[in-house]
Amino acid sequence: MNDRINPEFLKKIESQQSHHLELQCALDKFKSLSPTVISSHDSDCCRVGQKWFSGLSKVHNAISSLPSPWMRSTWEWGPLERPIHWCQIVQKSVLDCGTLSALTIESLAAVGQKSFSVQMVQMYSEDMVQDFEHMWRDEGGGYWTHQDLVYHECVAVINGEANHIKVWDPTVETFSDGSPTQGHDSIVAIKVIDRSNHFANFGHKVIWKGQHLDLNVWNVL
Amino acid sequence: MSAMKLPPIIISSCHTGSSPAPGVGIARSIKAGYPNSILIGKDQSAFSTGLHSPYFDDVWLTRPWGDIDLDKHLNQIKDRLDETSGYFIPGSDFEARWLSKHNIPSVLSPSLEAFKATVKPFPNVHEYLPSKAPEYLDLKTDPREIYNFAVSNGWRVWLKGPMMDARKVYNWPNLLATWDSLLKTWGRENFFLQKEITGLDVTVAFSAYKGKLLGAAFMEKRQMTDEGKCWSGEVNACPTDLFEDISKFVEKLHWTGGGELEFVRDEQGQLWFIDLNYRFPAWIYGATLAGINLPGMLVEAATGIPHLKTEAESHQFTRLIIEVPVSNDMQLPAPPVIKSKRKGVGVHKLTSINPGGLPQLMQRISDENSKSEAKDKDQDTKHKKFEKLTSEELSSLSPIVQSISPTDSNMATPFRHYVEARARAPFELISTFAKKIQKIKFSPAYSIKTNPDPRLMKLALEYGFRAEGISANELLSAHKVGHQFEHMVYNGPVPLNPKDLHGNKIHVVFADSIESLKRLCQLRPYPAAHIGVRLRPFESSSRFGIRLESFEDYQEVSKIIKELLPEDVGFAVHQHHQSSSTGEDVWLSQTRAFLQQAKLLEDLTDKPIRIIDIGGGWTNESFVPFAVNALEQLTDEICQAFPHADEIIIEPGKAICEQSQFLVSKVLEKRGKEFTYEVVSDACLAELPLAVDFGRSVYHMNKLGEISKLTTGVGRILGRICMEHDILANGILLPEKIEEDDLLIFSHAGAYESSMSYKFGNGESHE
Repeated sequence: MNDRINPEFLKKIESQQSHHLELQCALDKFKSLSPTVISSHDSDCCRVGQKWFSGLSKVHNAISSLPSPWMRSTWEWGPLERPIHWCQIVQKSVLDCGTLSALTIESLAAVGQKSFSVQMVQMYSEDMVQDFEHMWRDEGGGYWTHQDLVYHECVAVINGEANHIKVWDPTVETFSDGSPTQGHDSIVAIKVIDRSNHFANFGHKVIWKGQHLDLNVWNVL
Repeated sequence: MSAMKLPPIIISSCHTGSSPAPGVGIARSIKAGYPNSILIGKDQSAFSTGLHSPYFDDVWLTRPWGDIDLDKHLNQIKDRLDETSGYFIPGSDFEARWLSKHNIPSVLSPSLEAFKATVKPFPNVHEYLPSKAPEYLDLKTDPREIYNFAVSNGWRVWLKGPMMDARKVYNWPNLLATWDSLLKTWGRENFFLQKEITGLDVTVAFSAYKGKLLGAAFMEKRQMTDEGKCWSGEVNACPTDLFEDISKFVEKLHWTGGGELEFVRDEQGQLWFIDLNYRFPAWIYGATLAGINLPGMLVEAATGIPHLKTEAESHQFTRLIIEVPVSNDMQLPAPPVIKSKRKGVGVHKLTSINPGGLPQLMQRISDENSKSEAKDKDQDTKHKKFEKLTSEELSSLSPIVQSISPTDSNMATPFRHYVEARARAPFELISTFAKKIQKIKFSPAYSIKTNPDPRLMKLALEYGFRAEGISANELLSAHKVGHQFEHMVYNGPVPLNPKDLHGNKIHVVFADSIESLKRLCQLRPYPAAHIGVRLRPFESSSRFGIRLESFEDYQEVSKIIKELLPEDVGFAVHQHHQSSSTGEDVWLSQTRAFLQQAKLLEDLTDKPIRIIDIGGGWTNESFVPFAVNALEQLTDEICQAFPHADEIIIEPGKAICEQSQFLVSKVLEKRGKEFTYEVVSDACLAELPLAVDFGRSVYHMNKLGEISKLTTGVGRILGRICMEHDILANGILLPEKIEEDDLLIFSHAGAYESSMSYKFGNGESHE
């Protein structure tokens, strides 16, 4: 039978299978990573920092309705030690994607908007991934990378209707909904976290870009 | 594919610059559908770069549009089409418009009726498509009306021509300069100003034949040039609903040819019509790459010969720049020469628009239309009507008419004419509003600097306004007319020195800097019952106010307030940014940001804010709708957010007094001819220092005492002094019968125009 199949098609299938295997390996590796949480020392040092951040979120919300289109002008993107506390955040000039996402959730909460942590796996070139690993060499290196795949954190917001969501990427300050569907910069797996059972009435599913996603588990795209 | 041979196809407008014409894209698409087709690229300049592309089998280079004999050229087109039984796809709106009058069946472009039914800004677009046309204003009107339109839209406006070109304008001088530049390019076109709609660009290219929609492609721009032209984009099939609407649109207009509809989709999903092109767009080959070959469909419908269907290679496209050999038969023109030392080498610049002279074609079409319209209506179209005066204007100007006589040779001009009723009206309005507010004390403050005229300061006192000053001398001048020190507000960058007020304590003083805040907090006795901070508008580069954005900023200001502000002195906050520059929407959102900044400061210091001063910055005309529609709600929001606040202060400066005075001047000399007259006035920038900074109404009064309001045009009112920039009105249409010693009356001369006027050119010295 095989000799009747187009070899190009076979090559494509093999490539897809190989990508799938790599993605499974990446997901196994990223299993231990959970959405970033900002810690507090339970003293004024952190309380003032958190109060300032919430207040500033309200200031920005008066000007723009986007989730957090201002954080990258305050903090650059880069490696960050964990755990991270509020009193450290206000002194830092560089934050990572997880902290930017955690701050976005905090910022939206300050203006009364519900949002959800999103974990995702994105594809880049291996050279770019090596660059990321080099950047993070003092913070554990490649614990968030696997070959041409990287772990990333974003934020989901409700998109008009009941369980429709949009995914905001605070690292690049844009919605991920229009991002590439394959190749460089594409999202290959996504996990939307709903610890509050907000979407319980919708079978624990959300709809993103027309796709039904199971909550709290990895969805391969 | 059919064995029938495709006749040759002429495709025009082949320039590929930063704003490319569609010729090359149309040719590539037709070649994709008909690999053996014979395509002739037509253009009016050897600098039309696309003529050198390999997709044309032949090139037809003609004289530029400005020089060509249009009748002869029309016959040339007809002859070529007749000889070859070929087709012609125009790539420019103007050429399509010109050809539409001649109704040639083998020219695949819309009919004259389609052009006439869709003249931009196409306000009745909703009758054809599920979209609205953004609000617009024809520029042949009173300059003040144009200015007010732009102000009411926060200067988020576009200056557009009905056929081509659109430029975003940012302020009055920029509007005048842009308009002048467009006039120089396109001639006497009917320009209009249109509100900008915020949203996503949505573009649909379509192809139709005899009223039947053949196909449509939906494109989202992903990367744009500085001119807003698409560089990369994503193309997909047109959504079904929109396709059906466009289908009805082309059917109603019996459309033939390519077309492009440009919309903006706002946050609510509403489509706003932005532009309609009567030909395929330049990105048309991007649609072909996505499997939607619209030129192929058009040729198939016209010839009956099926085009080769191709699979989508990609739904995304990008442009790239490549070098191609110049055709030996059409080599580049001679190198540039040094024209003069001043102008340097006359480099052949790559033009963004077609180098074949499309503006000249537009002017020739426009002239023909003007002539035929004039003939039809039996009227002179050169001279536009002058605006009739409104009853309010008539009543405002009547005191001037009654008190002056243009024939009175002893009348000393220029002079300012104060109109009591116009001065009183805004005081009355805001005072009535203030009395209505029960929840909190609402205090209007009169900005002395805007016009320290004692008549206005007395009105302020009469209507219960506080006096607001930026110097001790201003406060002293307000005190002279009866304002009490303990009611006064002090602002501005000059640190207050209580000695200058002879030890008198005022109501509230605002610090413009950290240094000033520290100093004010440490003064004894206290300079004011309240000490406050002026906050810099959020994320702005204003030189005024204390920046409050980073954690360090908040820490520093909070520390001073917590440690230095005396317990028995009230804490206050102030902002100021001009609504006349930003528009009401942005002013309100900036004000809400300011309130949140103040709230955060209150939280971090545990010091309740007692006074919130929201500043001013409205024009006279924009203040009334703001006061009526937005101020009460804003007051409620402030009361809710600041339960400890005792008072809101508002400082409408020019909104209160700019309309109160007119400047009356005399015509000294009339120059020029026809509708391009200009006059020299006996006033100058010394009397109207902000003459070019904002729009105003200008009235002409002849020796019979008849008054007319001038509209826009190409004339100028020049000032009396020897300064290049002494131009009191640019782009104004002066009446043919204007004469020496007639009067010119300038409105809105009662705010900074009055307070900033100076002595110049009349022999007086400043000591």
